[in-house]
Amino acid sequence: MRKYVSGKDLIIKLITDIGVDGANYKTLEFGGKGLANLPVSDRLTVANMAIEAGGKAGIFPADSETLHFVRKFAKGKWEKVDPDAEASYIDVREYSLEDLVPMVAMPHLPENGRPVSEVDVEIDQAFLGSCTNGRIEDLRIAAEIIKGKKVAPSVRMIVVPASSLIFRQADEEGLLAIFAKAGAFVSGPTCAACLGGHMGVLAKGERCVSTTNRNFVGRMGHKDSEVYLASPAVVTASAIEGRIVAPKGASA
Amino acid sequence: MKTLRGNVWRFGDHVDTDQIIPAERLTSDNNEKLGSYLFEKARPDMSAKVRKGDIIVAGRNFGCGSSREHAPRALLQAGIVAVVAESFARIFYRNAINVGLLPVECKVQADEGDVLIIDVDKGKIINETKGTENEFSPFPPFVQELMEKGGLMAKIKEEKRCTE
Repeated sequence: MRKYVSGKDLIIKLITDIGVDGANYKTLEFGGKGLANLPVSDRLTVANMAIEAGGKAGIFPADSETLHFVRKFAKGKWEKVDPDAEASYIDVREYSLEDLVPMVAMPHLPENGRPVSEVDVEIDQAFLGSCTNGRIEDLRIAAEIIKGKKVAPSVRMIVVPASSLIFRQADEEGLLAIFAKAGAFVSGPTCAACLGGHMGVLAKGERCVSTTNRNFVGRMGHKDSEVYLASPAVVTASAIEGRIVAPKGASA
Repeated sequence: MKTLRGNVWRFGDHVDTDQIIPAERLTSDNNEKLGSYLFEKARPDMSAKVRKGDIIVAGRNFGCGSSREHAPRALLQAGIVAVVAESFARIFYRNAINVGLLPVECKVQADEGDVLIIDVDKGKIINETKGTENEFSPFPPFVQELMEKGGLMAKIKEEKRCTE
């Protein structure tokens, strides 16, 4: 994949192509040569958002990356399961990862994806976190982009590591200090503003670019607020610019 | 199973769970007030006007979004007894059955305020106002039993009482 393109861009593109009910009651299974270039963190984002296409599950074959991850985190017994060679599928879509560009899903459905280069939207808030994109890899990419820069004065940037483990890791790696120095607010792990819970609840007319998974009407607060779904790289670059952009160095 | 008869509330495609019951209203396990926040943002006048036995008619993918069972529960508490939709998001469908809200997959012609009759056993929907009739596949016996007992929890509670 190109620099600053990630699993988030792949899944927004896919949901845009098949629709928010494109996989209703089905399972999205991913495979192919590109997997070797898709780290587990990206796969987790893709699998997480398979649900936004109506899917029951999003699954990947277990390769050496998966096994490394599972050995580190799994508790109890587990067994590797592979797709049958003769398995048949309702539909097969092919994507070339190197052709993917930074994407953004416009309000108010995850299927409203567009290349970031085609949008011109000023924002009030940038949200980095959630089950979808609050992993250490996400925070590293964001820190790399924002290091030595400042969040635009018109923007609230909220950074929420997805778990206490990731929070501590990000702290030890100095990432939280980078965010704080740039003017972002760092919270302890929580769902936070993703579902309009607390801290970053949008007011009337406000717009947020967010690494979360849903952008329905009123999802993050007022019914007349707007949520734009994008990758950690796009959210961070947008926080700096005050409008939705891809990071410099990303090819559109 | 009984026949249902109620007034229609009309919705379009992709009615999501955040519209049905906004997440900020899910702050308590005591859900008695959920119904009063039904469609609070999308249709603020609705919860006060819904009458017990009313029916929602919607388009594709009703209930997309969250697996939180508050969505079907809020509908029930407000008085809605059935949702008739062209298709349901699977994340909502079984939750509805489990809490005792009838989800009927069927494309019907209906406008807001029409009177609809749902014959659950025969798999028939009659629009009394328009004089039209549609058919749907009847539910399998175990689902019918669940619905008759008021959902999964009610059924399990009853069975537990029997074995004690």
